[in-house]
Amino acid sequence: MGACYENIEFGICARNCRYDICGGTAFAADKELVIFNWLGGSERDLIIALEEGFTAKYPDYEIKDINPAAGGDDPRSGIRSAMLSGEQFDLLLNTWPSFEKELVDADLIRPIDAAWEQYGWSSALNDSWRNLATYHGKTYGAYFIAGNRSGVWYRPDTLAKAGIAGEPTQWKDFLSSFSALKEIGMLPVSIGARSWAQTEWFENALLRTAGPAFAKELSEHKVAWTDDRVKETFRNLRDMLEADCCAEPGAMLSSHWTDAADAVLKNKKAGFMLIGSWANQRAKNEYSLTPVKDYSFMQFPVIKPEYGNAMSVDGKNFLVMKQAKNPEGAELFIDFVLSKEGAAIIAEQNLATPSAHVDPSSYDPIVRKYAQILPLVDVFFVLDDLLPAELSGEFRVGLQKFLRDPSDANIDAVTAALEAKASELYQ
Amino acid sequence: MSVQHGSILTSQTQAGPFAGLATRLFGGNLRRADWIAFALLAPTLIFFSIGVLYPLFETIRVSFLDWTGLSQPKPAGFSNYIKLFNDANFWNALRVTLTWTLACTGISVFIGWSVALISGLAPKQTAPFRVAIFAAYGISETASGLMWLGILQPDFGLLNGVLRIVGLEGWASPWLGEPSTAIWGVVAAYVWTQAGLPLLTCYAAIQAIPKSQIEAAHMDGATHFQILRYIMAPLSLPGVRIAIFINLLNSLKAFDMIHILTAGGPIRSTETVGYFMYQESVVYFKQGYGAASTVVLLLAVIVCSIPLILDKASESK
Repeated sequence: MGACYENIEFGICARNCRYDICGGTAFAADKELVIFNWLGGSERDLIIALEEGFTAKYPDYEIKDINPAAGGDDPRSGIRSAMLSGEQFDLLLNTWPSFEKELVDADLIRPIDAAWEQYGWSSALNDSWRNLATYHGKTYGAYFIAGNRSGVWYRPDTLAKAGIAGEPTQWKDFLSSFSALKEIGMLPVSIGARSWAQTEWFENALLRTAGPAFAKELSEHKVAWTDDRVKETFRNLRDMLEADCCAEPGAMLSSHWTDAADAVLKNKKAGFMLIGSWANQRAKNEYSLTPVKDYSFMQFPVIKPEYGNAMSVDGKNFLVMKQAKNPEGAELFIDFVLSKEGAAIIAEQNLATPSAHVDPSSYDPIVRKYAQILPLVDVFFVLDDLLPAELSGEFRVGLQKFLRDPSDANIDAVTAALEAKASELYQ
Repeated sequence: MSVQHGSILTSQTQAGPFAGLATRLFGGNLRRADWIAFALLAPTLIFFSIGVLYPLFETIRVSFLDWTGLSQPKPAGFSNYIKLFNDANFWNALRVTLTWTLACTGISVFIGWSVALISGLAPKQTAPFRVAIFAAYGISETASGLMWLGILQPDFGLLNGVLRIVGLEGWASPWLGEPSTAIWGVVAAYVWTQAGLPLLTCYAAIQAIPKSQIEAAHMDGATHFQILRYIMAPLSLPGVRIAIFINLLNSLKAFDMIHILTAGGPIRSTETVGYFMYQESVVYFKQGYGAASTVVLLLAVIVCSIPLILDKASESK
């Protein structure tokens, strides 16, 4: 049976070709699909629900879900450790394009172009999503969850109390809203900069200051981190700091995004926070809030009108491993995830899918709001996930330094340090 | 008879119990007793080889590679070591490690020794305090770290709360968010967990002081302070010495507390060599580079251990 698999050129088979070639149910014992699922919390629940949906539709399949016990703050270390220790799996869940590129370069994942054509996944995912997972002309992953990373979260009752009529969609209005919030004794913006959440502010300010094309060039180090557009982004953020937006630097540097969420959405101590769409789950599940009525989000305010349409997104895709014992099953699972049934399961779990097969009316109001924006904007994958891990580390520390000292001299020092690290890594 | 026993003992100590073993081993002339000795030692040697020697040699080997864990490893010669000593972040980690190690060792030994001396004067009355301090040593660093995280939180932390209550609001600070105070916040938490060991070793040394010496001092009219200063303090120094070495080695290896409280931040102000090693090897997965920093840390641990090993060797003679 193993030889039979080896003779099947991956990706060219039709859905059930192995039955045709190797013979019906003789393969029943091989219908195990191993998925490396490092997610936790509600996102993990979603993957489990998808696995259950898949096995309900294809009862011959059995799914083994591997969940790494450890991985620290960055699950990539858990994935690498599992690979190093010889863990065998068919599908890997991924969210970092930079890591995906590493896997491609190390020849550890398979291209899925043939399956893409075979199953007609272009009817589910448009080219921009396919391009996100394309390296050296080959497609390696299929995105099935999309998240908004440009959402500034707030409570409508807080804005109403401060007398702020409507969402401040322009940067100038956003900065001027701070005084109203301070007047009612609130911190205008809560930033949890202990680890990585400060990068969200820079990335969105960069998109609004220099646009997605520049951000892409920066992520590929085709432009220098010392470019004036990077410095202009820092200066725009400095305007926010000088408008007395935030707590003292030490308080920012000792708190996480969860503290910011608590302050804005739960304790009503701050006006705005910027974080990914998982804040929706936190607000609903942990604070028991009602979407839209108790909390909502607006897109990051427009700094330059020409870049007002840009949106930072994240996403998760499945990668088929080179070592996969059941690559056909892996493709079939991807097909299910992108299908109408899979999209319905994702929507039921309050997450957005880029699959066109989703019924938008099944989303909750918050997810529907950003899912409706998604097809209309210039999407750019979250910069921190595009950078090599080491540069990402320097990026996070650089932003901490900036929050402590936003002077021109320090902006020069921070951008120079980032450029030095990038030059070393992109050689 | 006693003279005869003494001479046998002396001759064994001087020649060693395995005198001539090397000659017999390489001459292929092993005795039955030698085989038994090897058989008895075998489990220990096997586990030591698997658990210590193999990882050690593997780490040294990897330190000469350029390897991300995914790609094929490439030989890198000494480039990882050269890069390491030109890396400003590594030098920062060395500076932080020096501050951290000296502060943690000095303060925890000072506290442990002081409490042991006071306990030596009033053993019964201080028993609950000794138990309480030593109990902290038995709590996992992760649990202690989470507790201290609650104490040092900027908004609702216990420390700032107490400062506000007693009217010292101006002193309240985001302790773990300021690079200048973060290291001391972590040191305080770590000392809290580590002071129990010096207390134990120093108190044991004090207990070993012959009671007759202390009674004689009392009869000669010595005050409690004089007994503490001139008898207990100098005679408990062997316990202090052991405590210094163990705490020094523990501090060099410390990870959990730093990870929980600051994760090496803010701005690398609490990034010790041990944490730097974790970042490079586990977060950035630069296996060769991380291994090179591990070897440097290992050398530091060995250098710190030499005095204790020499001390123990001279004691056994």
